Amino acid sequence: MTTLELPSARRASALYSVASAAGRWPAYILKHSRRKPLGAFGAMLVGLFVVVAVFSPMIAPYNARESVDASLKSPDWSHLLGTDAMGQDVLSRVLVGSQISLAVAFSVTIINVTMSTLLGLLAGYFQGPVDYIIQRSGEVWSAFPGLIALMLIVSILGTPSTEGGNLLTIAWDMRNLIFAFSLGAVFGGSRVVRGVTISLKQAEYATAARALGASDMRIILRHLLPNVLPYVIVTATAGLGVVILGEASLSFLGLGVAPGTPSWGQDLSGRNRQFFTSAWWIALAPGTAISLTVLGFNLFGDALRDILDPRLRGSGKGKT
Amino acid sequence: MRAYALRRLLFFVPVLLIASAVTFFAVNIIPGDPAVLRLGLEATPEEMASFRELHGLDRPITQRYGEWLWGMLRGDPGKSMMGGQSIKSELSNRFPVTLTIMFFSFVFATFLGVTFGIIAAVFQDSSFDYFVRTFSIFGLSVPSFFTLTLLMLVPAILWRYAPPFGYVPFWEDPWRATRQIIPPTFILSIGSSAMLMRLTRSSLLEVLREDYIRTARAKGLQERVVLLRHALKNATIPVLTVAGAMIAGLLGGSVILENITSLPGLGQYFFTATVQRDVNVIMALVTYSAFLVMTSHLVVDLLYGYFDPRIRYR
Repeated sequence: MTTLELPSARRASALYSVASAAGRWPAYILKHSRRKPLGAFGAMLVGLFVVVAVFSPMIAPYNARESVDASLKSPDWSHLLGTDAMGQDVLSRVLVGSQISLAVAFSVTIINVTMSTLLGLLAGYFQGPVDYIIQRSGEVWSAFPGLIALMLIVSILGTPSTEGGNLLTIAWDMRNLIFAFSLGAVFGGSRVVRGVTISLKQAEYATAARALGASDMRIILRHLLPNVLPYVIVTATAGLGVVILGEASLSFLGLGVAPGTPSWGQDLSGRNRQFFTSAWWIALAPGTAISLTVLGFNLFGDALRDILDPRLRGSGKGKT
Repeated sequence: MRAYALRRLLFFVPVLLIASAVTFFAVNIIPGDPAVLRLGLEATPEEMASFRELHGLDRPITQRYGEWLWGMLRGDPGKSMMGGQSIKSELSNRFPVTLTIMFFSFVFATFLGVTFGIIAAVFQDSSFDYFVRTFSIFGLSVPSFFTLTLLMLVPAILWRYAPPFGYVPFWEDPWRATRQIIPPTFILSIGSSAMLMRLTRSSLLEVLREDYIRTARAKGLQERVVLLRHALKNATIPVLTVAGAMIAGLLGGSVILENITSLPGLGQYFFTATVQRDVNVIMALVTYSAFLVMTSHLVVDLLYGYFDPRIRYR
């Protein structure tokens, strides 16, 4: 009888079913892919993106940072996506460019999930001075328009540059950018968690746990955390695409990564722009890469939201 | 209601103070001397000293913030550190450009988003509904700088037609102004309208399942009345939130659009100022845009009260 079930219990059971399915995950994935074909398609795009980003230094046919042929060659067998204004191989640059997007998006999401959960739970549960400070800082933050705040922070901290390498070194090189995006994400995320925590701590099971003499820590960790997590996962997945778009926009403006770095946003700007009408492939390749990746995250995020929490279906996304 | 609005307006003061103070100190502690950036390394020490004195860089930072604040209160944001022009006159030249962009994008986004969202919800699972859903998921995924690039690229390649870019005031050359402003603002609005379509559709679908809608239909009201008078008003509330957030989003979008089409608006001004570290310009634009964003949040909150009688502000 779903009508008698508490909504929070239903969410928790959805999460537990995900966790308990770890042992029989192939069947579990198959079940949900059949029910959500678009979500499965999105997951495939995301998977492809991760694989490309991890292995791009190995699969890229040329060095993405060097001029390897005449400039502005149209696509042929030696350069599947042609060459750009500098004579660099466009395919290699698109493949390697995925590294920055992945490194930034995943780092921001990891920071966002841990910090939002921690701050949101503590603020929502204790509602003391910490809560007050978080709330007011969030209000000050929300007065800044998103892209303007990002541009400001990056211009203060300095535009990061990277020599490439593995994802961890790239993430470290991109720390200014990651900090800028995390700040906004945590303010938004912790507010969601705080709101859910406040409503959940009045639920019967929390009162029951308290009546049984459970400590605050135990109530937070054992009773509130599992019920809050679906919200965190859903907002974080939705945020991944937003961060990728934001990083690309900043790099497009020339503030995200230093000039010359292979990055999707960067390759659509700068010197390349004046050649777009004669060499359309330089524009089309990175633009399509960003669009498909974000599409993958959006489709996957929508499916995940439907599976983890039907009540959040179709709700708005964070600011871009 | 009036007391609530007044209290919210009072709350603007501390938020703007904190936001501007944080920005001011952060922008001023960054390494890089504005005097060197402006005059170059070859400048003589005397030139540097006079530049610093002119812009007050030799005085303590708290005093400079106080002076800046006093200037803002009198309605004078000071002079640009790089060009020396009065920021006030720059703003009055550039504001109409950005306002035009934001106005058209906002109108396109809300009009398309809300009407398409309503039609998709009313004819759920029709082919139009599928079109709206596909369009909106793509619209959320494709970055505006890519669609704007395609706007320049596709007509140029297919028809050898380059859309005119630039800015002429509408009353000087209406036809040229229309061709200049409509296509890019329409493209810029795609992302926001996609978000609104999704939200309008899902929130209307949710409302249409409510008991009071069944009651309205059962007492024999026309479907049009049920939809427009009963359902839509309640479905508007989540849509309002996003429409308010759109103002902030479009400010950012305006930076990108002006960058691509070289429009002399506020976004371009802010972009150049961050690159050149023109503290006075940054401060003025950040403060004004924060004010604009907070005002739009306030307007949205007050509109909630109108659309949802359950919300009472005291």
